[in-house]
Amino acid sequence: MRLTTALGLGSLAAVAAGLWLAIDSPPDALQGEFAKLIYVHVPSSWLAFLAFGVTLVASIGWLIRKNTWWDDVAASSAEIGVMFTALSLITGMLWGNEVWGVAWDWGDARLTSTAIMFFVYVGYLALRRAIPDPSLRADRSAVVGIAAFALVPVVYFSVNLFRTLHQTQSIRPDGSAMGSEFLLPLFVNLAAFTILYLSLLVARRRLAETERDRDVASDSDVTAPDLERIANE
Amino acid sequence: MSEPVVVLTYVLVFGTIGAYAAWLALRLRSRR
Repeated sequence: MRLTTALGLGSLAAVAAGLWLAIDSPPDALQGEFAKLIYVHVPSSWLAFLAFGVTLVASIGWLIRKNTWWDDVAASSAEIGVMFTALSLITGMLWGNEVWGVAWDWGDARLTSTAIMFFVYVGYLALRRAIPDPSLRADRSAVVGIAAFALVPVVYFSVNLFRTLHQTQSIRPDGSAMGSEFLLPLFVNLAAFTILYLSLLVARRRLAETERDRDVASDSDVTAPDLERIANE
Repeated sequence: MSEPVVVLTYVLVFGTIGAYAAWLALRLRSRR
């Protein structure tokens, strides 16, 4: 079985288990059913951090090794990270609208810093499309991929540095503010989303590789009749 | 899951991820 198929099936099973536990979990005493949004909001945020962390490591890998595999991983992970940052923002807005009474507050440090992180990584993806030369594109986007990661700790610690609307972390090294009946579905969903991320990353990197091969073939002087002649020889 | 907003959010999240995965699978298949 190929790695993409195995990871795809594994992530489907893990997501199904996480979804079942989320549906089956009890309502919160204060937030009622709305508390169940944590099982998609927190894993989406975690994946955004993880994906941008992988982009950081792969960007460093490209600068050291100059192997296109690293550049493909950096780009693929950033694209997936942008999607999960968007999902984190949207799920947070829908949740906030119900429990805070407002969907968005520019005065809130977590919301605003997450929005800035989202737009910086959208800029990273736009930069990649703007530079046609593969080597130059990889070099410049690696620098942005490394520098942009500085936003991740800012977003994570924003709730501790600025006490605004968004709550602080529910799970910390010194203990959890959540009951065990909420922790199990949360951890299963965090694991399921992580497997899902790996599955998407492997597939997206493979696609990036095929796109790179196609670009190389189209840039060369070999024409289709040439290829046919070579194949027949 | 009795709140419509919660159901909508779950549909939105898994619909988006599913659409992205389907796009990836189609692109990969067409390039083989």
